[in-house]
Amino acid sequence: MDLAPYLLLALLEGMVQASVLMLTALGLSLVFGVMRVVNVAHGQFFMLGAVGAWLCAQAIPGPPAIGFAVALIAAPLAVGAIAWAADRAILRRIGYDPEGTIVSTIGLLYILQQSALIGFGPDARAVDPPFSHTLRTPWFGYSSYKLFIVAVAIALVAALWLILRRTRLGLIMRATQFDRETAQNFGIRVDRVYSAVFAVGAMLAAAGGVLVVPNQQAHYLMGTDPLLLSFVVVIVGGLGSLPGTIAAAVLIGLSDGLLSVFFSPTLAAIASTLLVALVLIFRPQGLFGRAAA
Amino acid sequence: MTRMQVEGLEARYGRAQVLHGVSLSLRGGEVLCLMGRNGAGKTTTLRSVMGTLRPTGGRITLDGRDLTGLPAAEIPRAGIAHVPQGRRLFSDLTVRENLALGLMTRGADTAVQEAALDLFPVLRDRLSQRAGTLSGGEQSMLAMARAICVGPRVLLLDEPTEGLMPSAVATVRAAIARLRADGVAVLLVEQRVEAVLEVGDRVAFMEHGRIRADHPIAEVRADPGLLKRYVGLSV
Repeated sequence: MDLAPYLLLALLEGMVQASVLMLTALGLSLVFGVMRVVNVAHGQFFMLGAVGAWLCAQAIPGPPAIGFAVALIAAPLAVGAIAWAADRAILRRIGYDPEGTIVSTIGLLYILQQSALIGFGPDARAVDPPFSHTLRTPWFGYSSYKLFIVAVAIALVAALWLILRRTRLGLIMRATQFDRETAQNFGIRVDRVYSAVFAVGAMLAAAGGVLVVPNQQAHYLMGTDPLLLSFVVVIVGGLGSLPGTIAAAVLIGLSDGLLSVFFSPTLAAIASTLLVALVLIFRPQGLFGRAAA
Repeated sequence: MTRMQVEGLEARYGRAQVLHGVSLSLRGGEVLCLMGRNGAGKTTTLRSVMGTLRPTGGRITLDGRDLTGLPAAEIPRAGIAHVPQGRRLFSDLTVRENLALGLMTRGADTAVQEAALDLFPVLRDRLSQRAGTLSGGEQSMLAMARAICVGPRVLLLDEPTEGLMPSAVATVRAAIARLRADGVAVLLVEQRVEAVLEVGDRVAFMEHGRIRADHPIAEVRADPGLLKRYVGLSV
């Protein structure tokens, strides 16, 4: 058997999965890193992004590319606004207490999920890809849209990186992440930073949801798996470490693609779980995290 | 001239009251040293003025403006900067980024940063270095330079020379003297008697969360018993 085509296919599928995972997990990691909030509702922002893409596709006539382009901008913005409101209405009121935020984001999860069920219905709904060109290789054809997912994800991660490293907002976020009290000594309104970070984290997940929906349909329960995989990525990469999150998303996405193609998706899920267990035992701070002093 | 007034300040950690009506007055161009044994409430007083520990009573005014109860982020914007105990630099950020955070606070321009770097020239060669990789002395200088970049009218310093080599101590003291000459009001928490006697104008002695005595530096020099009584130290 010639392995090359299978290997190429596995790597391509792994890259697509890693790209979406990278966006979703980065949102979760950013929120935890800056706010110390474990956002159990994060997967619902992913789901809302996908639902938003379906709504845009329905509402905007013409070629699918137009509705999709609008969705790629409007859905993350709308989801970011929902997250911003949730931060102010819920998390800020409980003072970002670690235990309280876990319980309250579980509540938020059910509110968002059930709202989607009521408004969107229980059925999975398809969204046409913005374009359906197929790239030919010597062995198989491959959807160019899937490569578009990879490109957009890389562009968004690069933009996030630039914002964090090169802008005033990024500097403020990093200072707040490092030491909330000292940040206040320099006039930083920590509550506003938290609202912004919670919104940006949700927008990243929503962008992942928009990108993925032409491949796997929108459904009100679709937020669970991305949440669990994002937790896997964030634990393996190191809580709050953005480089670690990116590296772990690529590692898990690629291994998932390879194992799914060569063996079975079940084995891929088992491997991810095993990896988390090994990391927790031998390097609990994650591959890129820092050990507690 | 700048005047900061603290009247009847009270603060708690949980159910334990740690400040019992602290009152202080500080003018521009004056260095008021706050001395007392460990646990007397010196650091708590500074944190309460900065609003990072919300006072439960009392009043803080700066040039007549009531700052009591303002959000913590508003206090530095009003013109009060703080060098906390242990420096608390953003050690993952570069020296330049730490200074930039100071400049952002009140929108100060880069001339303020230049003035701060003139006080601590060693930092000029370290601008791209991560703050956490600096030596202890350099970190103290950066903590002070960062606070100076706020462009403060009042500067609160919490043991800025703790654990430093003598050469670094001298640099920090010279910077305090320069700030005083520039009209900045300095509230200095300090354990080193020689530093207090060199840079202080007045000394307020704290005990059990209260100001027990407030003397001009000449009286403290003339009566070593004061230091012995309130701090347990001899000159």
